[in-house]
Amino acid sequence: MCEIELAVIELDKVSKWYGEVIGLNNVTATIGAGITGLVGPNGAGKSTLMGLTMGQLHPSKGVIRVLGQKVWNAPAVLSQIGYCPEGDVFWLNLTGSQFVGFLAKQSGMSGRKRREAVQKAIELTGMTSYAGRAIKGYSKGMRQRIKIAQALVHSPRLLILDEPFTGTDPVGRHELGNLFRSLAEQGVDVLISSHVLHEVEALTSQMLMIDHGRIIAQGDVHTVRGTMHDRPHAIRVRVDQPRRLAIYLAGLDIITGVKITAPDALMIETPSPEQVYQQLPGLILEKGLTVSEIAAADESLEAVFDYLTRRSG
Amino acid sequence: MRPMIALFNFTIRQTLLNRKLWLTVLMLAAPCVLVAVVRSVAPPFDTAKELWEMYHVLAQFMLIMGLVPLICMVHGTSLIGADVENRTVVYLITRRMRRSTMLFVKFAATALVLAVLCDLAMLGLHLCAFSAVQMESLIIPSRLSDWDPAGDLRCYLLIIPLAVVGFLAIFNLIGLVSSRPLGISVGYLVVFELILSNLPVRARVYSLLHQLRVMMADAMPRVINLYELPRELREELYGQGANAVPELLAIVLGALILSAALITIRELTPTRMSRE
Repeated sequence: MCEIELAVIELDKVSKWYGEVIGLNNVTATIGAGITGLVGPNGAGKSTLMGLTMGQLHPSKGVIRVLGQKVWNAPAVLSQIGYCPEGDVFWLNLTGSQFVGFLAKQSGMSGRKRREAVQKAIELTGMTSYAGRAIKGYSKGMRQRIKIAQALVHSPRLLILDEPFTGTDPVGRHELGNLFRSLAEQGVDVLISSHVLHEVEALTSQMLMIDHGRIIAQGDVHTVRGTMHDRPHAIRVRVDQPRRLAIYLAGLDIITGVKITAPDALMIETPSPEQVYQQLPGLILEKGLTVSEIAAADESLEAVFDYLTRRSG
Repeated sequence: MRPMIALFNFTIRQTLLNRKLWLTVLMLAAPCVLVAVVRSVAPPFDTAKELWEMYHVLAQFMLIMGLVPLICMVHGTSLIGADVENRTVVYLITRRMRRSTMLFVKFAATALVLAVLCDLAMLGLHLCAFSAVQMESLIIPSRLSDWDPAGDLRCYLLIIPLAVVGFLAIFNLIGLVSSRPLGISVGYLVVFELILSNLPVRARVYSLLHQLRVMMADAMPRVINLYELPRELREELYGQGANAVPELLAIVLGALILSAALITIRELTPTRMSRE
């Protein structure tokens, strides 16, 4: 019961074909509350999945439910979604505030409430100073921000953001990241797609990883990494005498490989990282070594994704 | 209701700011320019018949049967297609409005703008044709003795919006069905509207130009003489005093219902449109 309540987006055996090209292949997934990253390389099927979720595309097979309802031509559910499409999608002759204002009207808002909502959305995205200018004169970053403002203007329950960081500078990315986090804290569910993995990783650990139209992993990045038993985990150790430590480690059953990667660093490969983390401090103390860092080297989203795509490919 | 009003106003604004509007205005100015040229170059009219012929030929053949379909083709085929091509349709279909409602609102707004422009062109043609003309000084043949130019103008001003609505509905449907709407539309205009509608075949009742001719012949019976057809055929096709408004509106309604069904089931993506 609890699981059903938490499901924001449900895909049940969904496939999408474009003629002979497969956009999405028999995907079953549940996207829960909070921020979820939809990651995958270009052409993996992210935009197809978003198009299906927004009721822009029809699934060739299977069923999609958003907030418990089918989305195709369903204003009741679509009005609860804020969507920021990828790329330059504008009526370029409008100013930023006209653009957001028109779409606020399209969401049924009017009068003072609408004006306040427009102002707030523009303010949240840091576009107050530029809202009176025509969109055709905007930089890429400004265009991205005003698209996000229109997605926020009607206070949606679910935000679907297709590559929202494209064209933004590092400061902009940081600000937008903070905005998405604060919205999620206020109870807005966010599905965010990106092919730049670290951008999404900075926002959330909940991921939907997609490649060649298939979901290759879903859930918390670290949990996903933990289930990959066929891949030994890599642990990086910065130590004053790496060669000496390597000799001691080579004698342990739980170690499958040791590689000295720098004059002061080595990489351990193990199928049981928990045991290594337990035993390593004792060994270091016993042998009198000086260690400055022990860290997982391949639990980042990038590493996990790399493993998964190599395996699925 | 508010989103509908907002989209209606927005569509009017976008149509007026669209570059295609300049082309539309230039095209619509052509009959006025032609009258002005004729009146300044040719010797003054001696008989009312010459003036009558010029006026009705330009109003019917140039404006209603030529420019109105062309203008509606330019605007109608991209009524939804323009938003689909630049992907802004995604903002419209993901808000509080059904796809069919979006279509009807955009259709109504565009039809209003085009109908007003075409009526203004008709008014301009009338003013150019009759300004500084002393009707009393013209020789008036007996069959034109009760000619009332203002009455004819009123007929045209009522018929033109119907023509706009009809052609816009047809070309909008073609725009939704085909990925090459302009080519198909030109084919439709030539084969169906210009050729088939003049033949004594049953299918002509589905032609807008046929219905418009019936309507004009009914409202201004003398204009039947303009149609270069054998007398019997003219009588058969247009001389029955039929009221074509219900038929024309049925064609419009059919085209709109079909368009609404299509827009409801179709994926509105540029890739989809070009694939088809």
